[in-house]
Amino acid sequence: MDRAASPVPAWFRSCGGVPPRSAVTASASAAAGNGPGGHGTSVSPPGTLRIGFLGRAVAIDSDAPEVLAGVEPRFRHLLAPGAGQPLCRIEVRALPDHRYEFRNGGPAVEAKSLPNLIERLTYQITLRLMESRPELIWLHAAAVARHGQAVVLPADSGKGKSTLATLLCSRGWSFLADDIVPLDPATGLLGAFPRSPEIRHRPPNGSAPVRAQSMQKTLVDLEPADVCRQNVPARAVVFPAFSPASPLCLTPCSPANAALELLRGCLNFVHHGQGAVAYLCDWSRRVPAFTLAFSDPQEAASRIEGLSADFGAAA
Amino acid sequence: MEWSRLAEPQPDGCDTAKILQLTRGRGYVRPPVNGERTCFDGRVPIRDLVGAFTEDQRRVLKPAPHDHPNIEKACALIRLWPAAFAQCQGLLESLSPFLDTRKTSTASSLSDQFGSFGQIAATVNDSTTLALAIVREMAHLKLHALGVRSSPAERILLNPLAETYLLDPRTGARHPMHRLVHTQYAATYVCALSIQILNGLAGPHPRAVAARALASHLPKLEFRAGLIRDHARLDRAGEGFFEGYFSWLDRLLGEGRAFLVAAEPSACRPESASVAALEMGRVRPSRLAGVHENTFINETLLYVPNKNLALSLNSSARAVWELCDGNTTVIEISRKIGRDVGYSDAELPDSLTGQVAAAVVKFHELGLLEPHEHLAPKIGLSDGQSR
Repeated sequence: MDRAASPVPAWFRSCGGVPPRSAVTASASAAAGNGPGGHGTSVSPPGTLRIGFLGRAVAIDSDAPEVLAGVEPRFRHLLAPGAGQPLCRIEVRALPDHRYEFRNGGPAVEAKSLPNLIERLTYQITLRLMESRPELIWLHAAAVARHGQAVVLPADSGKGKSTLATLLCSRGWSFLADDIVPLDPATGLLGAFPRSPEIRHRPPNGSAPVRAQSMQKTLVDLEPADVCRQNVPARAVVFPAFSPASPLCLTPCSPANAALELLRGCLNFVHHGQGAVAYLCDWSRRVPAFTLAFSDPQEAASRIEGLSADFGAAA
Repeated sequence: MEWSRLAEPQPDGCDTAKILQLTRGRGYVRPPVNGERTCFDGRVPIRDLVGAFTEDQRRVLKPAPHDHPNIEKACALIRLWPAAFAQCQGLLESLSPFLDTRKTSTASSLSDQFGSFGQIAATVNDSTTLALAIVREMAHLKLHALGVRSSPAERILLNPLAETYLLDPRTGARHPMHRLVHTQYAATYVCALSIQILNGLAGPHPRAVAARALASHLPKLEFRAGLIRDHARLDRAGEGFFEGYFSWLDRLLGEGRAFLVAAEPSACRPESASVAALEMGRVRPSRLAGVHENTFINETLLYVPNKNLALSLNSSARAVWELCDGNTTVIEISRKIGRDVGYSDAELPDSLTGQVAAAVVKFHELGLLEPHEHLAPKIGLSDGQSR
């Protein structure tokens, strides 16, 4: 299916296409390259960043330009300029000694450093946007698309979903999501939640084993053209299972076990309950699933591409 | 001190020694045993606890006799996990037994409102839940001693109290990180003991309770582990502690899943299956009402709404499940399945009957069958346990 020619389903229309960088107000944009600074009594005028999903937005207000400059790259593809009432407004204030505090309708929360603050804001923003669309089934997964069809990569943290999604994007796939994928039960289509992916730096072969969760993460800056802006059907579900010494092994996963794994990663199960069970069972009957054990991400990405090619040939 | 060795109870007791060192540093002195009745091989006195409960607690909790048989039974279950047993000996200052007058066998327990380290109180209505409650409270005690408290943690965690996280996606409850970690760590102890019970030579009742505890806790453990990995702010001690913790947790999750996900006859323990098979000539298992069945070509996914439990059955387990109609005995189920695969009743292999019985036991352990006047006492699932 040609991406440009495909119809845009209704539930995606309100997103408004690729947001320009100008969604960041002038003060924040100007500060983006300034590095740390502005602590304490900032002289910069307050800035606002609006991050949106399907017409719902979260506003970040801050007198510290480095805050907006830190958040913006993570949500670059979800920026939502506009003047409508946001779902919530998170106010961030710089304090002395490179500390910050933010308030999200409740008591102020202190962050001891800028990276610490950015990570917490990322969590809060993501949660608010997810909660604004409870009718969707939110899966803990990455997703990429090619030829109008997606491969979903559900997995716990550290199993390689971001690494594989990013690698596949470098090979021409379109990016849908890194960590959280919305599945619309009304249409059966996967939506884009293109928060910028973060990949872990794995030690070279022969190094002492290191826990995936303790590896440093790097934000991957995708071009707007790399991001899929339409809803797509799933072609396959691949459960990645990175392990430092694992040989490459792609094995079919039975539909019932796939449904079970998807339910385990259903982030808003509390909202859907039995509805999610019934829907994900039905979805698993239609979408083939596999488990992919690997240690070499390049090999694993090639195997997924091969899988996709197999499907293409079958189609 | 290797902080990575503090999370999991160590066979050499080094984590217990460190905890005691920390508590002594705060002025704690463990009072000696003064001729009282004891448990844990004479190391932990059983004492009355006076004046520490709230009005609501006093209404339903009555002191239990110090020689209540469930205390020794609970200690015997904890002994299946030697490192935890030794830790109980080292860290528990006293155990105060109570009976819950509501006649529930779910053990409630307390450890942090008595003003002194190491005192725990627990209901003794059921020996297995008491054992799980004791190790759960010991986990809380350990974390408190290490500095993870409700006031800003003095060690390990740096997250502020005002920052809250979704503790359980099914209830929507939000709590600060220190509470999330306490809940996680205590549940980890519970799962670890449950696995020891399932691996050990415990009877059908402890095994059923342990299986239910695993089914309840394992998904939550995995969910919260992700939150902790992504959002816990750690000092140097915390980094070491959680390195060891996640290594332990990964092993527990793997073992726990082996019990829960593979609900197939071959995954059940043969010895329990054969014991059950001998007793199942008159038992007519019946599928629990309200279980949602989602059928696939060769499998079925079961979902129990009031437990939020989902599991998949392969074709063999499904065949047994479908014959649990309340009219067919376990032996008859075995014969019917045997005929389907070409055996006459006379040549039905014992192994097949054992596997069918094991599957029925597994269904019972997971609470998937209706109580049955014959099945219940044999399997031990309706002796007053709360579901």
